Amino acid sequence: MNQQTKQNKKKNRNRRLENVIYEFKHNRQAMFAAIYLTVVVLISLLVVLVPGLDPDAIDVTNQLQPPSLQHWFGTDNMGRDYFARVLYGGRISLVVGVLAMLTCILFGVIVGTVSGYFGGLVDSILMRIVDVFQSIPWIIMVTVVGIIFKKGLFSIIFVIGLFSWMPIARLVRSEVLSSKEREYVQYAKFIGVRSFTVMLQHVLPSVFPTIITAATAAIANAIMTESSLSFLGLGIQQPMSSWGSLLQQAQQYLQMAPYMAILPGILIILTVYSFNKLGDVLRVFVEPRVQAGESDG
Amino acid sequence: MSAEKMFEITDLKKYFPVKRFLGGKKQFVKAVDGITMDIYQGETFGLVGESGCGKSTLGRTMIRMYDVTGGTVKYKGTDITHATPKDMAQFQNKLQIIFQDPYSSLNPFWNVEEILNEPLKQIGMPAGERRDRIEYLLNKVGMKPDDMVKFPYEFSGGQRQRIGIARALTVNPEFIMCDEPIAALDCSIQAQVVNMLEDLQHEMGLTYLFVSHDLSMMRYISTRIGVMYLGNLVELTESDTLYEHPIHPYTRALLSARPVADPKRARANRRIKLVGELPSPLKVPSGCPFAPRCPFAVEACSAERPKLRELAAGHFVACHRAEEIGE
Repeated sequence: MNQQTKQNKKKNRNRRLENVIYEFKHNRQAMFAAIYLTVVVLISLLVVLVPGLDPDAIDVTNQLQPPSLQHWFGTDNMGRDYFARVLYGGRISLVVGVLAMLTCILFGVIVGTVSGYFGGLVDSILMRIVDVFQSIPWIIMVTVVGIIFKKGLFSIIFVIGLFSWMPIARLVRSEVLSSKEREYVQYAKFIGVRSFTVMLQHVLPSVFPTIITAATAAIANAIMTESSLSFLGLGIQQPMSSWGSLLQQAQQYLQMAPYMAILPGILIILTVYSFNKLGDVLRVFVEPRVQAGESDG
Repeated sequence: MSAEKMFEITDLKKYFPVKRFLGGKKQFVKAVDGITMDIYQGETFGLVGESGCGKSTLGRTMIRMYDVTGGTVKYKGTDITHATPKDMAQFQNKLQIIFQDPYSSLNPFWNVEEILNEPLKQIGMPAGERRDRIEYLLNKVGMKPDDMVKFPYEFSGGQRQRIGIARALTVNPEFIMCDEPIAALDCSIQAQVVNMLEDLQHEMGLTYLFVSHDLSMMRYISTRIGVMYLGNLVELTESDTLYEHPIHPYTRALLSARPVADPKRARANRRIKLVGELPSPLKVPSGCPFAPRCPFAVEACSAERPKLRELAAGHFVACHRAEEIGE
């Protein structure tokens, strides 16, 4: 009997997986996004293992060299190998993107679900907090927080997470408001399932597609925000590099070495695009109703 | 009909507050406005009335899906009017509900096994026994054990409704509130589902509260029928009596609106057309709620709300002029 249950479970998972595979096969952009992100993530993980690729090795005799066989992406103003700096920069950008996304999804989903599910006073208080957070221009807050906290990777993640969860909380709340009125939720409440379990088992799954889409958009946003912060000099500090901070340093040498801006710029665009695309496809996985081949919407 | 009372409902009220912008005067939708009735063990009690008259609300309030605004509900002698969810736990496997919309009543992210597992888990059935129980139930409602792994979106409306019925049956209930279970189905499926419900009733000794606005189906399935208008019970009697000798003017109008299959009889059947509109449930008339539209209304009707009176044995009518009209 147990074996059969296992088999059944496998069957379900396979069906969902099949949908996703179908979606990838028939959607070239999604295919590209998946391959691109896999490559970028793999490189970011494995780049530390490559000997001789040091992003911090200064070589003053080879400043601002254009791309060549020896230095694929050229060198920067201190003669550091730009290829190594871009690869290591990607690591930072991705770490910031993913961790900041997790922070803001965590805040957003908890606040949104509690607010929508319990309603009333709890809802009013939480939503006013959201309003307050949203009414403050984040760039000012980031500057202030940046002064209080030590500048560094984790304060950036914290700051981005802290100031981008409000739209997600709103989205999740409205989704919860509509799904808690559905009859299967009312039935669960009626037969006495605990509130927490109802939220977890009935309400959250229907919010899942929204969360997945919001999460991929949040990664993309976090990478962008980090880039803008670094561009303003509030983000990643030297000698550490991220794609955003590379862009910032490149602006001084735009005329002499335009590749210094173009290369990380292209990588940011492609990564952000791929995460957004991936979000569309992932909806097929979490939502059994959106069948393979069906356009999203 | 055994004479044992399952539900005793006295002056039951359920008001829904309406939110006003910037705290205006608080208003209420009086969905159920003082209803008194009993439901006997083993019967099928039918509730009819037009959309929005409070049929579903009455049923849901009765089984304490909603909180009660006023009056009392007794289940088998126990007062459950203000029972907390904890108190209600002991009735979980006695009272169940079947919903109207087979699309929103099943969690689309769960397969059939998971859906049917939920109430079983809730009553604490050990995991090992649940599967057999689910297989047994699926058989009962005419589905295959293989269907267990499927998701709701893979079924038709009728099949989903069967799953909904199976879910209500999982815990061996005594009473099922059928909240328009056939309204969303097409005709041939309606008959199947209704017949199945009847078979199950005989087999498992169930008591039903059947809410519907399908008058013909109601006569077929119900033992007794209550007619509701704007949150009030206007007439209550045995099913055949209601169809053959309706007394309340609203019941008469309602029954005359029922389509008749035979064109000769249809022509002979004089349709009673009501004047005016259904009043908003926010502003129920203070007297008889039906008075503004009633062809027999006199002054007294809008002055005082008529009480439900027993006119003949087991035939209750809420109308001041019931005796004159009833002739």
